[in-house]
Amino acid sequence: MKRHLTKISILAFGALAACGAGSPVPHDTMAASEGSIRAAEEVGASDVPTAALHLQFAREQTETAERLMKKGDNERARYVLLRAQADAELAVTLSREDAARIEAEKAMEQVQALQTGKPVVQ
Amino acid sequence: MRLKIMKSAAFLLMVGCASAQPPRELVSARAAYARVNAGPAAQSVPEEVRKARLALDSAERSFAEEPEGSVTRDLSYIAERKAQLAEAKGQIKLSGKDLAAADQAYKQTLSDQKDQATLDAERSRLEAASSDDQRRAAAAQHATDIGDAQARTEAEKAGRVAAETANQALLTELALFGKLRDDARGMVITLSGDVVFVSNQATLLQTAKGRLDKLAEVLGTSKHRMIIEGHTDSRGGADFNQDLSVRRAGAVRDHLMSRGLTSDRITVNGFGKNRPIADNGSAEGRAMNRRVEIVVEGMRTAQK
Repeated sequence: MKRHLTKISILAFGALAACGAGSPVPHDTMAASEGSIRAAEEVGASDVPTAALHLQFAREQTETAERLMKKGDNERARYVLLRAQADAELAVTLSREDAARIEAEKAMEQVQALQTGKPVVQ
Repeated sequence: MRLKIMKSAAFLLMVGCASAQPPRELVSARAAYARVNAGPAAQSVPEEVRKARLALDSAERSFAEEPEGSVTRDLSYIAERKAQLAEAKGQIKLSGKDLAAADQAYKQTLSDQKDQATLDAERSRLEAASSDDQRRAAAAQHATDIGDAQARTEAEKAGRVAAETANQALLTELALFGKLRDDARGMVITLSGDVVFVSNQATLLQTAKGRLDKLAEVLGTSKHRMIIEGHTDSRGGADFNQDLSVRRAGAVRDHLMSRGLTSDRITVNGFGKNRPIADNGSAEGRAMNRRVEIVVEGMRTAQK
């Protein structure tokens, strides 16, 4: 029971601290989300429809966060940037998923071609 | 014990907000997590699914503390993305397995087909050989029976037919090693340099050694003499090309000798870039010019 109370008080303290005034500018979070967006662009997320959608969300939310930071709402901006980062990371993985699926399909087609007809003679 | 405390803490917090409706984002996050946790990702990428669970727990805690707050919606949104991420990573794992299975099937099929080709060649050789024996035996029997000159002539003729049939079987096998053609000296087997040697060297590739082993086996039983000639394309210096062509022809001879062919049956020549068979101006032409030709004296691709 004692440990139980300790846990609750830690949670309560955390909640109070989060509501404290004057959150710092979330430079690190901004850098992390921008980095993830660049990574998504590099793996060609724009060319994969599902990935492109999340890349777009990530960009829009980064812009929203910039506006919030200008207004001084750093705490809210930090969360919006975390959303952007989650979207950008998802865009990266969806692009890779698409590439892996295509590669596997191609390999299976090659096997079928070999088995059904044109045998490869060098 | 620890889990119990956590659960009761979460329960107490949730009781406090029992009346609040969860935001749309949290409903979506719960559904996304339930889906990924019930799917193949739970087995193939458990660590990712665990991260999705932790993200959802954060969102649930935030909902218990502050049901209407924007942070709850943000954390829920992130939790849904983490669940989708775990699902996509699970799919990547599955595709990887499909790819490996396809590669394996491809190699297996290729190997089956090669085995079949070898078996077919062997069968036709054996069939030819056995019908030769029968023909020869029948003719000899015939000659013994009637004992006249005509029968002996027939036996000789049958012998010639048998020799030709055996040659034909030999040719069928030789055609597996490279392109065949005839010139004034005999039959020429052309082996592509790119298939036989390490680039710009006289080192035989492992696959080529296997082929040459088979060639030695086939030619070892015949008495034909052989001339092995090396050729290069026109790139590079004349001296280098000349030397490379001699060394490549020598490497083929050495390998055949290591498989039992005697040196008195084999002559080696190198012609460098002096005898092209195709235009050195194109990559295809140069590839054709890089070659080793094995001349089997006294043999013909078309028997008559």
